[in-house]
Amino acid sequence: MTASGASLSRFIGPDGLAVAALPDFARDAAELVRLYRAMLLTRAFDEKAVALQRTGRLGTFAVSLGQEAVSVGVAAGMRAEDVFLPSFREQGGQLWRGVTPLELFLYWGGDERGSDFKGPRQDFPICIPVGSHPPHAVGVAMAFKLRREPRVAVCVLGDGATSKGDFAEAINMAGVWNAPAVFVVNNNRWAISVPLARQTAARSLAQKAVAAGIPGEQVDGNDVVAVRATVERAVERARGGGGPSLVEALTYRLGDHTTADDASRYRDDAEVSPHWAEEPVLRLRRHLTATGAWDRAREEQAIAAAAAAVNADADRYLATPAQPRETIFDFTYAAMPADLDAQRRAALGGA
Amino acid sequence: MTVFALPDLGEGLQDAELVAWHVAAGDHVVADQPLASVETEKAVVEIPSPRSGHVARLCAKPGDRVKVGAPLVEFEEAAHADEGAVVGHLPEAPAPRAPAPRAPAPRAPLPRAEARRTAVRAAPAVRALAARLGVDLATVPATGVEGTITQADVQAAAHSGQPATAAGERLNALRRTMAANMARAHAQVVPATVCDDADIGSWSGAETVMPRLVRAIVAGVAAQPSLNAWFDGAALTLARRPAVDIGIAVDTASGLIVPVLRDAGRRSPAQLAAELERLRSGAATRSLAPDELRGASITLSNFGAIGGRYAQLVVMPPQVAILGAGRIFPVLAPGRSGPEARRSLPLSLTFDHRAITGGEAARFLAAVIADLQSAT
Repeated sequence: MTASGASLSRFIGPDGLAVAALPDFARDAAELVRLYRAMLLTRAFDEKAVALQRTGRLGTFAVSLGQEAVSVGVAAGMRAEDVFLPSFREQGGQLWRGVTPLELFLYWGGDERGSDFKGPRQDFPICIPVGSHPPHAVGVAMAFKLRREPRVAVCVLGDGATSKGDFAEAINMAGVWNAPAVFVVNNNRWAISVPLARQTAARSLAQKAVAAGIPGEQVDGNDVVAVRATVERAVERARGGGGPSLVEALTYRLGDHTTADDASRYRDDAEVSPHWAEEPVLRLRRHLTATGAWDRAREEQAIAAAAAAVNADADRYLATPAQPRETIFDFTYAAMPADLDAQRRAALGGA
Repeated sequence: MTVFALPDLGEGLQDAELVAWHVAAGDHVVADQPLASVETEKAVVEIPSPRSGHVARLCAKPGDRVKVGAPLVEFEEAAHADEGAVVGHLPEAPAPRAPAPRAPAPRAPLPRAEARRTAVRAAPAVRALAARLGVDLATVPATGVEGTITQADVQAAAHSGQPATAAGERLNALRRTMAANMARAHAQVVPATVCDDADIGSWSGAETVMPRLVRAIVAGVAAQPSLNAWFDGAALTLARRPAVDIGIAVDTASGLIVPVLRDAGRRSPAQLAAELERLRSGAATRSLAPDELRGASITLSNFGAIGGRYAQLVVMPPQVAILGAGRIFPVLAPGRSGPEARRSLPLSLTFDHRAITGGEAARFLAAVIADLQSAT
């Protein structure tokens, strides 16, 4: 493992140039364009979601600006039959796996129907509490193991979540049980207003794998090729019975924590601005342009296509009648407890 | 004219200060184009336009505090509706837009938000408060965000001195007294209830229940005098009463009346029956003197004459106990030659657990039952 980050996995540098021999999938320009378009779609979705929130038509939302390569790269390293357990900033990966912008708008608009994915039926809903879902991933992975299904549970969490007991317990038990699970830390260096230096004294988050007795490695989270290649290797190892592992993807949160946050109150432009030079969309565009696979016309067409897809689903979202208010009670219990049933009746207008 | 109101830009914010406008009245804007910058308690944020159209009026000046839900911008609707889709007039579109709306007819701008305005808007805690105070939410003026009713609104309505509900009628004096007494009892007493049945199969057919219940209470008091007492919860003193003065709960058309049968332990069965009848009819005709309604040391409710088997009764301070008798019911009990049907009288004893222990209550009840089960 790489505790210091010295052997950080990277294929494409900030200038867009390859720094190592590319993996097979990345030699196919069409596949790189597919990854690029997925990141553009994520960014377009984020922009529209913020506009809807700022006009009172969506709830609090967490943008993934600057982190798109982690989310898209993780999902691209999975197979369709695997199960994705995302935290609340992984819309890029969800969109890659077939969750629609409409479903995501519904979810962030407070409509539970948005978690009823028509595409990846067994993917987990967005996990809002910090780090409560790594144990779920162990459960999912153990189900696969007991059923002898060659599938893998992939859990994405933030750097702040690695300070939680749930995370330590999850990677520990995954190691004990040799569960087919991959834990990816989307390390954007900020847990709301807490910088990584005040989060942990550990030299890396990947080294937390040592305590669980599982492999841990770091990857450049702004290089979508490296994220995909690293996660793919980890997922296939787990699928083959090689056990769980931890991947720390180093990236940077360029935006606010959520729409209810103002990051300028706790970090300076001087701290943030260097990271704009490393951001993942710019990096892959430079690479595609340098290799002749991309140009301005294609860029404009791709941005327009992404915006059109997002806007069309935003219109569908706004035209969707709101759920009846009593449905707030309907999706937690198979059999409604009596006290909740009374509240549900009250919500319906009864006494 | 369409009004765009200031939304909640954070999580539960009440207002925002307008920092700057990025548009002016008369401007044509496209959806998502920046309209204004505002500062909330949490952040300075840019508010984009929710729609394309012409700005008719800006509803605030830089430096103004705008409440969440108050108008921010008014858009012209009909006059320029045709141009609402013409993005090409702009010198530069901020980003490529979705295909233009097909029809010039104005689209409902906020169907999701409007859908929420169809009913009374109040949080569950506000609804619970209204239910507790007897306030009809439909009659309460809302001052909260986007027309929601706040707890303060409910409190104001409850204390406005006006009838809580439009159709309510004021209680008569008897029921007002009951309301006040019950509220006082509920506020003070820590009630606990113990239930059991008396086998009254040995009674002769002619016996009536009330005199036997009175006699049984006298027997219970003899066994456990602490239940025939007055308790002072402030001074924490318990004063045993010298006589068994039984309050008899009487249900009348006007409401509940509880006349007092004095010194039950010294009366013959015939005197008891006569006195019970006098109190019952006096209560029904409201002809009893006020003194006859005061000073009970313990209470009896024969609610079973109307219906019901067991009950959690209300102990009226300073008393510490009330005995309730339910409807007599048949039970199958082992007899000499197999099961036989017996009559059973269900009893409920509610006592103030501040002053009386469960053991005392159970001993009292056991003595009551023993007396009821004895032959006449």
